[in-house]
Amino acid sequence: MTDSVQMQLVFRLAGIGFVLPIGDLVEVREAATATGAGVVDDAGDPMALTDLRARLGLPAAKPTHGPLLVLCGRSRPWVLAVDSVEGIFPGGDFSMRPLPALLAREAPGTFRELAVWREEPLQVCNALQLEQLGRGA
Amino acid sequence: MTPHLVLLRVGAERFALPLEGVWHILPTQRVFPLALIRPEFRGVFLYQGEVVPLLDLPALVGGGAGSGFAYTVIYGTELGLLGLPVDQVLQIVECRSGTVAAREPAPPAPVLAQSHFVYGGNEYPLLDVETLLNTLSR
Repeated sequence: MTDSVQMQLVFRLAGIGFVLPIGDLVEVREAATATGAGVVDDAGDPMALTDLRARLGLPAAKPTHGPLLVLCGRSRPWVLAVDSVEGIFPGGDFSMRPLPALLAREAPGTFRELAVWREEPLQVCNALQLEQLGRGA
Repeated sequence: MTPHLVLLRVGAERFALPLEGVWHILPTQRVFPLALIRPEFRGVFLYQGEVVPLLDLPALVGGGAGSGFAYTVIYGTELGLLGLPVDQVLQIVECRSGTVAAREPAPPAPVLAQSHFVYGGNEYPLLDVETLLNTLSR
């Protein structure tokens, strides 16, 4: 059995590929489960729905929304709207690289590592980092 | 070894680039955009297994962020390899076949070129990549 700690989730947001440790993922939901008020957890309590496009300087979402990632948060799960999920893959499929020094910004919260997967550089992230970005921290 | 310059076209502008910094000139590479990087870069591409940043040279030249370009110049800098998108590689010439003259007045930032290479009756701004990178935003 494959160690789930080594598994990685690949998703896309505005044409950019991201990779996230599967341990940070609670579940993947269809967009239809979201309402204007957000998403509710199994107990019926609302979870914050976050669209990071503006925070990441990416184009606004298309009218057809993609799946929702329920991610671990600092105090409770939260929900990230993405365009698509490529799947879950073993860590050995990824070749880690630092972000080229020429691209690094001095702003906090930026992504510092890349993972080359199927000849494509993905941005390495984690749930807490994305949660902080969503809060504007 | 006699220094050489590569004469390039980016949009409607022509430039000269020191050949000694050029590692490779390739057909257009697949570019992958990234989030939260310096705005003067389009993204990255893979070159011999290495992740290389692509400078948005057309936008810096003033031609807008055009999407298409024919070649990528792989250029070595103090901070690693850099990709420069260009539309045409015009010629490779010896430096001594022309003259280098300072630009007057000094250009505003970002500084693409501090001098011109004058060759065949034409002026080619001499791209100073290290200076340019130092004048970009952080």
